[in-house]
Amino acid sequence: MSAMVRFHLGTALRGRASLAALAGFALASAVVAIVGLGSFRQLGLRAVSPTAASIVNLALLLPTAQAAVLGALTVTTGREGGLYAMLRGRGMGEASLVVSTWLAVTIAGALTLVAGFAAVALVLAGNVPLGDMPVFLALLAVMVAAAGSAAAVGILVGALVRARLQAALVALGVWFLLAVGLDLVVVGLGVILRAGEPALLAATLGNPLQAARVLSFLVIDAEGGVLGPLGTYLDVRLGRDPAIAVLAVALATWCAAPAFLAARALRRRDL
Amino acid sequence: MSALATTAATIAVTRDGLAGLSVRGLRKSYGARVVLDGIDLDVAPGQIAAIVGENGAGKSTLLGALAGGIRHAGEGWLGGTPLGRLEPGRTAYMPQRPRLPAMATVADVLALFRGLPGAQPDRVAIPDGFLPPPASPVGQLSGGQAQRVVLAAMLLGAPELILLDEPLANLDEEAHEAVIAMLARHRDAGATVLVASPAAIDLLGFADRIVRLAAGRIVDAADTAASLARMTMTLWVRWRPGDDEPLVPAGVTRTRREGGWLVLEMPEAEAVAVLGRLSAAGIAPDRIRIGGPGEQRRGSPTPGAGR
Repeated sequence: MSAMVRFHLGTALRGRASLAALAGFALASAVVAIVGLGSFRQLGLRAVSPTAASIVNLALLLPTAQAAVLGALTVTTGREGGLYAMLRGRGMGEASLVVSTWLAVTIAGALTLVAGFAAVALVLAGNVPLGDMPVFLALLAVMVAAAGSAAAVGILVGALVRARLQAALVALGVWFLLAVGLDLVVVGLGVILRAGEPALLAATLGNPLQAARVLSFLVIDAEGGVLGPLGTYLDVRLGRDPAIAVLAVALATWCAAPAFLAARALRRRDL
Repeated sequence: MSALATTAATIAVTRDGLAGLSVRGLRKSYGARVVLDGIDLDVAPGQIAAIVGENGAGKSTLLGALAGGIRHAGEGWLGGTPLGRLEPGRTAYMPQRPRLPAMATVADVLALFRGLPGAQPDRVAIPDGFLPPPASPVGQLSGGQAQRVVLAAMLLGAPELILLDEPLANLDEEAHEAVIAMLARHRDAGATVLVASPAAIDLLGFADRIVRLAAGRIVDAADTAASLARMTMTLWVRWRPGDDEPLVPAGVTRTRREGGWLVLEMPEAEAVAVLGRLSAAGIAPDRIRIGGPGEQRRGSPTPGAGR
């Protein structure tokens, strides 16, 4: 398993797209932190949550898109080129193929996140108390989980779609839906169907990026507008700690379930 | 154990603790199109079987199914153990025209297959100069070089069942000989080797058995020498405008013209004699091709080759 993870990770990190994502996210994070730092100096502590929220939203866009597309492309490349068939021929099961690919893609996404968060840490060094470090690291962990769920979804797409271009486009489409549209659709349907509470729950737990977003804001102890309607609902309905636990379980499920389905799909198809 | 499994276990021949391949009732279809139609096959340990047949005969599907990458009906065993339950590392499979990720280096590929579960010490060393430099990205290699990398990776360790789909395609003469030597050493150590190729001519020099597929069925399976005698051989003689019509040598069963070539068909066993007659008729060796005008190699196919 570790040999397969190292292979996929090395291959991914040498790709121009991964390097561009890493550099782009680090640069964008640094810019957001610098802008946020200016506000922090002017507005004091009131600027902290919006700045953190901006970084969270940024981290939920680029690394997750990278993970979704990379996951889909790694699987389709492995299938098209015969690598998965060769590994299967050596006795590797479909579950091993999927888990090793997921780990490699998630680590690639995590490295992008670390680059961005390191850039933020450099900008904030000396301006933010060291006591905030655990929250900073918790945010990073939530973002890595979000990247992991996007990687799992991408891998599922790769297992279902055979052609590389098609897989990349479908993965990007699914990511776009999760990133910007799904919660609005679900909440809108909830209004139409007069299913307010279930719709809010579905919009949060049924979308890994939304779950990660709300979880991040709960972790940084955000309030009011920053927390958003879904976060506020969970905070009020469940309480902060139970809400954090439920969202963490939802994110873990979003990592495991697509990977399980991908392994099942590969077992039922010719490699 | 099912009756079928018991039969297969009985049939499988063992040698030095290694066991051969048995396949029973292998079927594969894509919708209504049947690609493999009830393949029964036994290959002993320490034997190289050449799987030959025209395009679409089912060679690649057979090897892919045995490797576990293609879903199928029917069963296969290696020494009585179902192929699907073999421990990792006991089989090696190279599909037709494999394409590894372009950014992977030669060293990455070798490290991957060396690091897989079940990996064992190498039975056969990779010859010096066979591989491109370790840091070379696969995407920057020629087709032949990339194929060398995959073949080297597949022949790492000590697999007991080696399945190679057109391993000699794209290879130059030197690599061709090196691969044959490596396969021979695996065979000598008791491995069961299946090599697919559309043309038997490539495999006659080292295969022990020729298994001919047509339309998803085995139509002939015999020792190389016996198979050779039944095969049709094609010689191409370059034809220049103004040349006299050559006498058709004895032993040729069919002739036809294709562009600037005269095509002679004959039983494989007659090939050497026909070559001799062409030579006696003054046809220079550089005007003769075996297998087709694009074929660079010339000469007789060494009847009776194999072990």
